[in-house]
Amino acid sequence: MWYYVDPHSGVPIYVQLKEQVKKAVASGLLKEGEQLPSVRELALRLTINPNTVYKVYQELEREGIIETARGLGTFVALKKQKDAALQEAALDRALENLMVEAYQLSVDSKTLKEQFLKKLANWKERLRKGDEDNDMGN
Amino acid sequence: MTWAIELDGLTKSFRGKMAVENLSLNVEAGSILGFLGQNGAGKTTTIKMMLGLLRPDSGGGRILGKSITGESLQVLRKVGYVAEVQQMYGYMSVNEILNFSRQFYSRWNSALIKRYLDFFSLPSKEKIKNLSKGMKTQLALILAMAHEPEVLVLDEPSSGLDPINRQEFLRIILDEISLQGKTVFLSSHQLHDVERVADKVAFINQGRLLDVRSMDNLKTTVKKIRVVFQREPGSSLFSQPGITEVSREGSAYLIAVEENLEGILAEIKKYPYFTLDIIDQNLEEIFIEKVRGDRHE
Repeated sequence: MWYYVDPHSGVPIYVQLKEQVKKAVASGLLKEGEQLPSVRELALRLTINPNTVYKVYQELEREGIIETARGLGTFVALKKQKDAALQEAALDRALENLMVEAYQLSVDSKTLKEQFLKKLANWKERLRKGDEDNDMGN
Repeated sequence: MTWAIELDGLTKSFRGKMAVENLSLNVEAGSILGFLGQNGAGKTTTIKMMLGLLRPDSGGGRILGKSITGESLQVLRKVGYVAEVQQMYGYMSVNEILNFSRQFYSRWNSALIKRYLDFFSLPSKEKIKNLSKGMKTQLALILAMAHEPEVLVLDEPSSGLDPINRQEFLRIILDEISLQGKTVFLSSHQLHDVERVADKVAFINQGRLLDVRSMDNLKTTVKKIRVVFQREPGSSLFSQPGITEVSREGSAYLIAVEENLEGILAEIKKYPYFTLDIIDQNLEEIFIEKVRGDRHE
């Protein structure tokens, strides 16, 4: 995978890198069980502080997105191994933000529900297409 | 937490003019600290005191547990230093200065020297006075790393290096120092370099330390909030702690925030508004704001 960060943006480098890996895993660009570069390799490739890469890997591991096998390296975790409680908490936070936004925009719950379902259908469609294009089972 | 560098109340004046005033700063072992300030802010004076090359009027400190005022020889043995202005004996060749320097240290990594002489294609028989500015800096880095120091102190290291050499320089520091768990004190006004690699940033202005914070914390909490209210909010809103500046244009407000971003946002959201934007700030914007703010006080 091609990693990229913009050190001169107002978004912390670790946030950029973390989001990038999460997106890559969600979209199937990084497949289950695929190996990630070592901390050293990625830090040197991006010319960033190794502590930053380490922090990203630690947080992703805590969220169950990647896992480290001692002496072997870091890999994209298998989906079923994700911690259900953490998953629920993360989803809850995202939904909470959505509610706040909807409230601020004075969107009523009917519209919110409709748009949510539309988005979901759209997302499923994209995943299905992705499967056909890349033959990635999901 | 282990501190590699502890500075406590360092103070120095030259001919009655305060150069560094009561500067206290700790650097965690294994981290990279970016030391930021304008020219003449007191960066080099601080570094020279830190290395025992300049005696403070008052205050002191420790590097790896050794006193910078009482044990400066032991300090220098454990520290690698790349000075702002390379003062190397110009009549010596590259090889000669390497042989000259090795007598002062018990540890000496010849393999590392060879590796980087080759990497930079430095002509080992050439006299130092004939080297370009960039080559002198590269040689200074090799000399600073040769005795495998636990702490590397760099004073404006990238001056004289072109962008490609600067990137290489940073990568070597990451590889040979950071990845080995060693500590880097990087003084620079090259904000771009610092922004890439620093764990923490210390801002110095007119000899005084303005702020020390992790880069992640700076970028997460130093923001500008642009908000257009539906009606005038209570003025108590702007006295929230963490707000450094408020400017107004019609019903729009631009609020500069340095801390307590979440708390301030929660307060703002109590008032009905039309739009609310959080504007990210990069290191250069944060730096300029800090120095400007300090002048106004």
